[in-house]
Order: sequence, then structure tokens, then C-alpha cells
Amino acid sequence: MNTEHTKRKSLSDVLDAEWRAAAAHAPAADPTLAVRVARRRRRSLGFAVAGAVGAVALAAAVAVPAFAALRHDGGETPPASTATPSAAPYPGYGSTSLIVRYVSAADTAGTSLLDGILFIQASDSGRWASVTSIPTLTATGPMTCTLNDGTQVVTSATTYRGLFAEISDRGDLFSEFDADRCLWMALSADLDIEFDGGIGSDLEGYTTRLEEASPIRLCLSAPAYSERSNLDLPAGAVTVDGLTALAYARSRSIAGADESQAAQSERDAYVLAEALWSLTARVQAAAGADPGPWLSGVHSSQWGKPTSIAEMAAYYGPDWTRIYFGVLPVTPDGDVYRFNDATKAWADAVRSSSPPPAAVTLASVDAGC
Amino acid sequence: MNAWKPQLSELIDARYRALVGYAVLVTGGDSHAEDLVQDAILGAYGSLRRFEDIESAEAYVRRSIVNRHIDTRRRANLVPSLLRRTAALRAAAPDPAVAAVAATDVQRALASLAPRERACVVLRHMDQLSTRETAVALGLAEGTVKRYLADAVAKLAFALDIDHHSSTEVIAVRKHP
Repeated sequence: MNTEHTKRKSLSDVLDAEWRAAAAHAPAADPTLAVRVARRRRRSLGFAVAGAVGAVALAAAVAVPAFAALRHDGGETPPASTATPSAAPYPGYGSTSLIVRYVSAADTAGTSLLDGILFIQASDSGRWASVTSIPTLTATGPMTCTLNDGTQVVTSATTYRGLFAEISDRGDLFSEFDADRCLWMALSADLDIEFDGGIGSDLEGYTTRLEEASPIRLCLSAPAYSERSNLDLPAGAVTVDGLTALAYARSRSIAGADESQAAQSERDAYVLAEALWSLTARVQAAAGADPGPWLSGVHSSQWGKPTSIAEMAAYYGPDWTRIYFGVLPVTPDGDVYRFNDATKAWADAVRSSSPPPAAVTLASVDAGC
Repeated sequence: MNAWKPQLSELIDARYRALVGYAVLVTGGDSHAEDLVQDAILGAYGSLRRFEDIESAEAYVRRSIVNRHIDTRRRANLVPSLLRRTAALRAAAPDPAVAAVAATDVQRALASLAPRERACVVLRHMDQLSTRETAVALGLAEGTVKRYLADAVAKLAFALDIDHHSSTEVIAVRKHP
């Protein structure tokens, strides 16, 4: 018995003692935790009660005023373009569609850096562009993916995030799979949208691009304070550097702010739209000078029409009058989001090359706060 | 209707620090342990899920901590430069929680394990799950769990100067008391 008792202490008790010691040193609970739980629970309950159709309306009712408060331009529809389509670099397409994915993780300063997926669309005849953020946990069914050697495989991943987790388990992401393209194939199949190109960027690339766009002007409906993210911004118009813009887009510890993935996606799209606007203004000031590789990352895949944000900004800059931003309309379903009728309406509008529909056009960026 | 509120308050008041300590071991002393705990609690109570009692709620949160950590690490490994960036951010803005929870020998030993190995050790030796239960919790085959445990225990025994064979036998003792 003594022998067994001694043996049992050898590992389990070492771990138990370590656990107690770590708990003793652990900080007290964040006082806002219960409030954040209640807020998320209310949203879950609201969607559960409203059902699929009601959920779309509720999302619009909640999200639109929130963003209208953040920045509102009156919802004016951009005037029809007077530019000659054939003057566009890619004539005949109506618009150029680019999809961007940021690979990232969580850091230690209270900043959540989960994957960000953004869809950027620019009218071939200028006048408008849009940045739409796609929640990473959007669900998709089993899909066929093409390996770099041309082999077709079927993945059992049920969400885009799960897809990357599964692919990463199989080895070297960038040599065995063109993972970004796998993701974009899935999105393209689900939404019936043909992408003209795509870019995958790591966090470093994302940060560098924001720093290049610096200074970036933000318009905040409420003060943004986070000690852990080194963030202390007043309400109203503020001009910040790229790193501060990144912290605002990604921090999960802003006092009183919604920390859900959807809310973070909104901030992501907003900051990217502002950065794009900043670059566009610079292009205007420089009479069309190329602003540089805005969204180049560690990995990029381009197919169909060769394109890049740099080309788009350089070409369309003087003509862009508005940059829309928003989040792909989706319905929460447990821990994931699913496409709905509003998603289909958005996709229809993308295909028709008209400005983004009201369901996703939450606000737009233009001159003034 | 709002029975979850007192349950959540009790969980936070009574078990929050213990959960952070648990997450510290799950992560091998990684500094985002507190983030993991908050995410897990938000996930557990932010949905409409119900828990019979505080014990089942805590058990759910613990499983969530393990799974979220494995998922985070798997994704973070995709791009090595991301880690360099993260390290730079950590250096630029030190987290008070990091300073408070300085890595110990045990945490360093745990940190030397692969995330799944560490998860197996924590579930088996701290949560007292059987190998089968551990396998179910992690979505792994039981044989895989046994292999992870054997490898992990051997590494820990070496690093912490614990007798390898007696540590291995602990598993048998606990499985067949």
C-alpha cells in the first residue's frame, strides 16, 4: 500500500500542487466577465426566439444602428459612374473581386487576432469599393479541395476555421495544400461568386499594411480604453497610427465593448475600409502614384484576372467616392454562423456589380467624421 | 429562468482562479491562460446551454479550455513568423498576468510537451479521467492517448526527476484501483 501511495504522489500530486500554486497566483476575475456573458446570452436567446427569418431582421436592427452611430453618411446610393468601362484595366467584368485572409492568433496583450477573412470588391468603373468581413466560423459542408499536385481530396471540415485546422494537421500548409485557394473555392461554391484573386497574409503583413496606411482616421461612437492593449482613444474623430488601428480592430479587452467574433469582424472591416480610404486619399493627392503593395503577405494566390489592392487603389483611387464596409449577413447557429436569405441577396448584388445591398452596407467611409 | 446567473457568479467567485491555474498547466505556463478561461466561460454560458450544477459547468469549462488551447496552438503553428510577431508584441506590452505567473520547473516541463501530450497528462492525471474518457474528450483513439501518455510521462519523469516506471504504473493503479 505504501508503495502504491508513494507512486501515486509521484506525478499527480506534483501536478495538483502546481495547480494550487498557479491558482494562488492567478489574478481575480475580470469584473466585466459576467456582463459580457449576459450580453452574449441575450443575443443567443434573441436569435433562438426569432428563428431563421426573424434572426436576419434582428441582426439588421441591432447592427445597423450600431454602425450608423459609429459612422453614418445618410445611406446615399453612389451616383452611376460616368467612366467608360473599357477604360478599366479589366474591361467587361463590371467589378473586381478580391478575397483576403489574415492568418493570426491570440497575443498576450488582450488582443484577439483570430483569422480575418475579407472580401473586397471594386467597381470597374470606379465610384465605389466595399470591404466585407466574413466571420471565420461560417459553416460549410464537405468540400473538394485541390492539392498542389492536382490531386482532388474531400475534407470533412465543417467550418472554414475547421478546414484550416484539418489542413494544418496534415503537414506543411503551404507546400502540401494551397489552403487559401481551398477556402476560396468553398466560399465561391457556397456564394456562387467568382473571385478574381486572393491574398493570404500573416499578422505581420496585416500590421505592415496598416502601418503603411498610417495615419488612419477613425470615428468612434464611444471611448475605447484597454490597458492590456495599450489603447486609450476618445470618442469622435481620432487619427491613429497603424498599430493603434490594429489594436482597436482586434482588442478583446476594450471596456464595455462587444467581444463577439461578429463585433470584431465589424471593427476589422471598418478599420480596413478606413485604411483603404486613407491610401486612396494619398493616391488622389499624389495624382495616381502607386501606393505600393498594400496587401501583399507571406502567401498569395491570384488567378483569373491578375489583380492586387495596390493596382486597384492606384487605378481607382481618384474615382472612388465611397468605400463601404460591413459584415457578411449570417445567422448564428450554435458556435458557427450559417448563410441565410440575406447572404444570398448580398451575393446576388455582388454578381450584378451593383453597390452592396443595404443588408450589408452598414456604413461607408468618406470625407469627414 | 435566470438560474444561470447565480451559477455563473458562483463559478466565477469560487472557481475562477482555479480555472486559470488549470489553464496555466494546460498551456504549460503560456500567458494567454486567462484569455482561454474567459473564452471558455463565455462559450459555456454565452449560449443557451444549461448545466445541472456547478461541478458539471466547471467540467465543461475545463474541457473547453483544453480543446481551445489545442485549436489555438495548431493554428498558431501555421505561420512561424506570426510567433515572432507575437513575441514582439509580448515584449512591447508585457502582460501583468505573465509576470504574476512566472514559469516554474513543472510548467517548463509541461511546456516542453506537445499540446496534445500535455492535454492527455492534464486530463488523465489532474482530472482523473480514464484513458478512454480522455480519448473521447480529445476526439482521439484510445491507443493514441496511451502513446501520448507514455511519451509525456517519460519526458516529465526525466525533467522532474520522477521515477519513470513508477509514474507509468500510476496509470495502471488508477485505472484498476
